[in-house]
Amino acid sequence: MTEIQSQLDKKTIELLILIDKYENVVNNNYRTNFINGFVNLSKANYEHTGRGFERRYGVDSLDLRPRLACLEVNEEFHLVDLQQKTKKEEKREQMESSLKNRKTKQTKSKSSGVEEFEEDKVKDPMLQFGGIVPYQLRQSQAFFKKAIENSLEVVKLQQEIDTLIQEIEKLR
Amino acid sequence: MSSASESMAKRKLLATIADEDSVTGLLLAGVGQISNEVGKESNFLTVIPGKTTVDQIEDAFDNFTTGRDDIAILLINQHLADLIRYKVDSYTNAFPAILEIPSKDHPYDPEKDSILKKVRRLFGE
Repeated sequence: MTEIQSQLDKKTIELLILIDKYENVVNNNYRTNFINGFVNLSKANYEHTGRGFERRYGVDSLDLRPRLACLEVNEEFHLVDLQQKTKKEEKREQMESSLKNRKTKQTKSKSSGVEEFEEDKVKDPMLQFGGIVPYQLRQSQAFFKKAIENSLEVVKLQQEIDTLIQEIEKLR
Repeated sequence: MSSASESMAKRKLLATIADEDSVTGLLLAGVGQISNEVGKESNFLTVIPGKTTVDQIEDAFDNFTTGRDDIAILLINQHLADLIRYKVDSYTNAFPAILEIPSKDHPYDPEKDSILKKVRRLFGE
């Protein structure tokens, strides 16, 4: 009985620590990153539609051609930025192939008359809104990226809390 | 066990069911993927008030959670999750994980947080 009680106490303390961590994440960074993302997006829309001709940055301006996601989740539930990864790989390839491949001809096969979508290349999603965008849109992008990182943290904590709750209920 | 880890390894994408501003923001961050593959055309649903029906939201939820095998996390606005609360609450799979995110008009409300509700229930509140 005392062993079960001590296990219960231990798990309850773990749960309280996790809840404290969860509330810190959720009430601070998670909440504020989303708010700042939305505020900057609204400012960018105000800036963009102020002239009266352009549409707001929304569903109607999205590029619906095939594209890859820039953010992925790996097995450890961490966010992987594929754009950064591709840039690093390209840089490494450039450094490696400085003089070696001078004589080899690199040919790309192109099917005639058919537009090729570079599905295997990860592009900055900002480009679908144009080359020159208000700086508030870039800020909004940065805040939403941080918000997604916080979201992954929140999901991990939620799963840990859920597991602990189930274990505590079993012990009771 | 190995098939479970294999299926987990395939789950890399974040899907989203949200309003226009949330989808725009999340797509800006790089969450969106569009392809010509049948059943995996896009990993986001933009909910437009008055145009998007609850059935469409339910269909998208089912598609992202059980229909597709490449989604790791589903991000859904809290106020939209309330429209299909019965589906969200009865969802028990570990993956994809479901996270209710705030929107522009409905900021994060700890009173509606499902995990904190479970904690309060556990402590008898």
